[in-house]
Amino acid sequence: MVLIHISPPWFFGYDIVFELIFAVVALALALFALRVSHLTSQRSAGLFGKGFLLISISYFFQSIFNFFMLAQIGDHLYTPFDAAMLPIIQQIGAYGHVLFMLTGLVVLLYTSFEIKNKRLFLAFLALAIVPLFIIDDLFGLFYVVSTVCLLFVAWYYVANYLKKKQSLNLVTALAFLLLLIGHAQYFLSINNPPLYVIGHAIELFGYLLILVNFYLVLRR
Amino acid sequence: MNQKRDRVAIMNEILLLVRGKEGEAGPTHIMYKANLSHQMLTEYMTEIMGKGFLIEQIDKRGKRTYQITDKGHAFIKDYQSIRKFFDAYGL
Repeated sequence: MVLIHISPPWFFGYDIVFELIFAVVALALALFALRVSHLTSQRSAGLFGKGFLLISISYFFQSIFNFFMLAQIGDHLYTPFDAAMLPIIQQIGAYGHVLFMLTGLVVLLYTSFEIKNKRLFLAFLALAIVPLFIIDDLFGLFYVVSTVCLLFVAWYYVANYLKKKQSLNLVTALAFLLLLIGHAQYFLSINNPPLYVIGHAIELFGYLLILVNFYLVLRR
Repeated sequence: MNQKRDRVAIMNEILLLVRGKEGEAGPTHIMYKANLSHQMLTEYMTEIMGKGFLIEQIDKRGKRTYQITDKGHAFIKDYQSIRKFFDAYGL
């Protein structure tokens, strides 16, 4: 596996804070969706909740990966692990992030198709994940596949807004469009580190919109 | 998905009907007010009682009534948020 440094040096550390924010927002949304699913027995809410739970776990892995990347680069940073262990921990963090994120996005994609077909879900999942174990460029492929998944999920939410024209749907559609653009930026950032920062900033706005939506939903 | 959301709306309607009858209503009242067939009523009541929103009570004469629980009151309170959540995310 090729581990690449796509973040500009000054942004090391800040990205961890961003990822923890994404993880917490995704976790809050997941827990609410799972509670709704429990109360109403609605399958789609359960799937949506599981998708965001996987995405939240993925961001926790990403923050671990970036923390140990920072530990490897900065000599003053304390880590409880031996230096020889760092590459292994980084790989666990990298694969954990990629696998949980892709599974979460595939669950969201599958939910957006409004169908019930386990074989189709497994086919989506296999197509997203199996190639990661074959090629060397883990992150390159990950960003392409996750961007394609997000493209179709965002498409669903934009279509949903155009059908209903409600403010809640508009905020959801904008949030997913920002998440899509943020992911696309990551792909481009492999050769252009400033785009990694822009990707995080755009993604942060996407998650802030999800938080606004969450507030609007809970407001009585 | 809309069909399933209607299911949630019917659950809420049943709970509102019971709450409207001072927290206790009979099956016939619910069936007619909610415009449900006997089979549908049985299905909904099984689900609603399974979730602990209503409890069934049978008196000495064998008359059956349903009483709303705290969980049922909480569901009615949360219903608008649940509905908005479904709308927001197209669920």
